[in-house]
Amino acid sequence: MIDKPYQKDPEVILANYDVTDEERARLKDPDWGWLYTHGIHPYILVQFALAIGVEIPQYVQQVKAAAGEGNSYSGAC
Amino acid sequence: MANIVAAMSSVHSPLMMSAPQMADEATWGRINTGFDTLRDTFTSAGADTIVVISDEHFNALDPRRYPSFGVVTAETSVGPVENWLGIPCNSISVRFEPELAEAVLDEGVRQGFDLTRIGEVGLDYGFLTCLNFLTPRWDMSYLWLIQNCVLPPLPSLKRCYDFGRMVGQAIRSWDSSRRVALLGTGGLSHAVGTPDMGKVDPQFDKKFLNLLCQQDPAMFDITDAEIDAVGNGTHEIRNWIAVAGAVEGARGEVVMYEEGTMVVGFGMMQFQL
Repeated sequence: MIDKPYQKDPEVILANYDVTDEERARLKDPDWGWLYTHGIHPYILVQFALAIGVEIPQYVQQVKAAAGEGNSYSGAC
Repeated sequence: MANIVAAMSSVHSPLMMSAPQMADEATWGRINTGFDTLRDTFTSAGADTIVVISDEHFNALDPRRYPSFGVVTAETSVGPVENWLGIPCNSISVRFEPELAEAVLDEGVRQGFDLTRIGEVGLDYGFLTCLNFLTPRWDMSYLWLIQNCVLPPLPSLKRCYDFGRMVGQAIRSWDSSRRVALLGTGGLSHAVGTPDMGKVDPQFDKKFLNLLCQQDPAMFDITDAEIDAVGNGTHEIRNWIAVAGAVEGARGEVVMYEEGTMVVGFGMMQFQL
C-alpha cells in the first residue's frame, strides 16, 4: 500500500519509480487530467486518487476538462 | 461428484462499501433486497462453496503480468487490499478451495485453455464487494477465477462463455460432495476513471440482460466497440457470460435493475436451475 507513505512524502515513493521530471511533478501534486491524457490506465489512476483521499467528482471534473467529455480512453496501456 | 446448485451475477460497485450514502434510502433498500434474494437462492440450495468469476483491478495483480484467465490456487487470502473500501485493509480472511482450483486447471488444459496459476493474491473489490453482502460472516469456502476484463486485448465474449462452460464441467467432474454456487461480478454499463464516469446506458443493459437470460448466442455479437461506447467497465459483462456458460441451457431472470446508482447500471440476475 502506498497511500499513507505517499501522503506523508510522495518524493520517497516516487524515487522508486522510473519517471520523468514532469511525470514526477504531475504525480507529486496530482494533475489528474494530465496523467489521464498521458496514458495512465484509468482503473489505476482513479484508484490512486481514491487511495490518497480524492473524491470522485473532483477527479472526474479534472479528467473531463483535460480530455473533453465523451473522449474516453478505454484502457490499453 | 460436486453439484452446481446456484448461478447468479451482480454488479460489484465498490461504492456499495465505500460510499453507500450515494444511494437514496429507497434504492439502497432495493439493492439489499436484491442481495437477500440471491442469498436465499444459494442458501436454500444448500451451497457450501462459492466460485467467484471476476476481474481484478490492478490492486493485487500487476498489469505487466496479467492473465487472460487466472485460477487462484491459494489456500487462504486476506483483503481488502484497497485502503478506501470503508473497512480496514486485510480485515477479511477467506478460505479458498485449492482442490477445486486444481480441478479447473486440469480440465482447462484438457480443453485447450492455457490457464494461469495464481498462488498468492490479495482480495480486491472485484472479489469482495458482493460477498460482503451475500456472506458477511465469510463462512463458506471460495474459489476465485479471474478473467481479463480490464487490459486489452480482452478474451472474446464467446471465449468467456466457453471458459465458463469448462468451469462448469470441471465442477461437475470434481470428486467431492460440495454444493457449489457460481457468482459472476462486475458490469453492467459503467465507466471507470474516464471522463464518462457516472454515465450508464440502461438500453444496453436491458438488451444484454435479455440476451443473457435467454442464453441467446446473439450476445456474442456485441462488439468491444459497442461495449467501449457505454463505458470501459462494461467489459465486465464477460464475468456474467462465463456464469451463463457454466450452466448452459438454463434460463435466467433479472432480480433487480436500477438505472444508474453507484456510478453503474445496477443489476443482479440469477439462473433457474
